[in-house]
Amino acid sequence: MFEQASLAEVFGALLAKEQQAAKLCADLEAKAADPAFRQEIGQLRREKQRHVELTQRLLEIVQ
Amino acid sequence: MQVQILSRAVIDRQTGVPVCLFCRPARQGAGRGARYPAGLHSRLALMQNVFEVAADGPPRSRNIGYSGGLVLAFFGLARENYQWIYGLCALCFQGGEEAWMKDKAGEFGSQISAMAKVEEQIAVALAATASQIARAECFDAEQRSEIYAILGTMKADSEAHRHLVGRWVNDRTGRVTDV
Repeated sequence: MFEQASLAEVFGALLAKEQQAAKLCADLEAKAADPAFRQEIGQLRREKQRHVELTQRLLEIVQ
Repeated sequence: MQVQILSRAVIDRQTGVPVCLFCRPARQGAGRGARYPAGLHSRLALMQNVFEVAADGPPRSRNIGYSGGLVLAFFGLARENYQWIYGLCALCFQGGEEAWMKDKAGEFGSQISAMAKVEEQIAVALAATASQIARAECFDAEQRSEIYAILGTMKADSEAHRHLVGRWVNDRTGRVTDV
């Protein structure tokens, strides 16, 4: 039980970081005028969003 | 020119005079709205909880104050960014928002730096998580397998992300001139 709670806390912190990264990416993408940069940051944002979903799945498993 | 950041304005160390962030580069021959030294804006004082924080949306002036002969224009940014404070002379304030739009270098640079920090923290968190999972006894084989698969994917992506963001940090000086 303690082990699961501890892991849930770790995954929760990881989720917060991934969400923060996704938000930063979205902000940068919205402001970028350079098409190449926008494409790169857009790809990164999508991958970060995927990481958010994966981390949520990790939380589901431990909970 | 070395500058010193005070609570509300940027002071030229040599003259002791508050300097306008927008026209200062013009004096140096770089032209108004030109790129400032990397990180300068990120060192500007932040006034959290003093003025109304703008909702998400395009930057715009919110509150105007005066200090040391400069107009301090408060441009609202995203909620978590609080308020960035720019010291502008009256002349530059007229076109301040336009100039600000031309000069996203500071904000871009600080956001990319923030991104790099977050990527580092994610890499550390992933490494710590992997070792914790290895010791955990609360999962069955199927769960453990799924967790390892997810963490493996995230670690590989995270490594690539760190390289990408690291490249942006390295060449952002050239990159932001296009913004």
